[in-house]
Amino acid sequence: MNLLWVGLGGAAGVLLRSAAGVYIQSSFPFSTLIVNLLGSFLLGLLSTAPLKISSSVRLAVTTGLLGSFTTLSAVSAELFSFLQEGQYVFALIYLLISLTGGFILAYYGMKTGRKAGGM
Amino acid sequence: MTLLMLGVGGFLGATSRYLISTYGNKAFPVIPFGTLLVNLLGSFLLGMVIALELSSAFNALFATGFLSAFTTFSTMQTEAVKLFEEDQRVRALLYLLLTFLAGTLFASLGFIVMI
Repeated sequence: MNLLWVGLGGAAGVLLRSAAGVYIQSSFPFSTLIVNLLGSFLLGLLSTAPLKISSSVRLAVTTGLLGSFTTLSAVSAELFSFLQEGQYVFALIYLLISLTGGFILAYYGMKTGRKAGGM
Repeated sequence: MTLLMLGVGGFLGATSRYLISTYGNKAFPVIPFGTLLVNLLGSFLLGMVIALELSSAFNALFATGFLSAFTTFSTMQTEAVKLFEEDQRVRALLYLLLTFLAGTLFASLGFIVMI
């Protein structure tokens, strides 16, 4: 039963990410970056906030929707593409923003979620 | 039609990730090994798909649908934060660096084996 919830969330997450890809188009992978940073904050927030929802719905939204909304394979392919084109500075900038930005946003998401629990 | 392909790919990608990461993260608890495994495998497969230049329908189903849902960035980052909060700071940094550097390496390997 859990699989069904994760799958439904996953389908929704991919569709939302594709929509972001249609609206945000540029040579630098801003679409992937924005989705990944936003998704990290929201996953941190929703995995710690004491929401009155069933564990199935929580699983669908966290592991399913937000897990699929964000992506690591595209980041790997984009970094490889920068390296292939000899764009080493862009590769380094993209790596550092993804790595540290995602971490900081996930951290503040979790902190904010826990704080909401204390209210 | 494309939306259906994306949705089906996303459904299958997310459920495959859930199965592999649930077992893998327990099997080797030093770092979240299951999540690392899906991210590296997914990066390798995406490198292959890019080199093959397949039809847009296949790309919608497999690359944009399945592989982007199979791999995950947000779960990886929250796992890194949890390690950091458990005072496993070296492990957290190792996990982050391993994910990004090996992910890029695996994407390039997937590309290279197909050309």
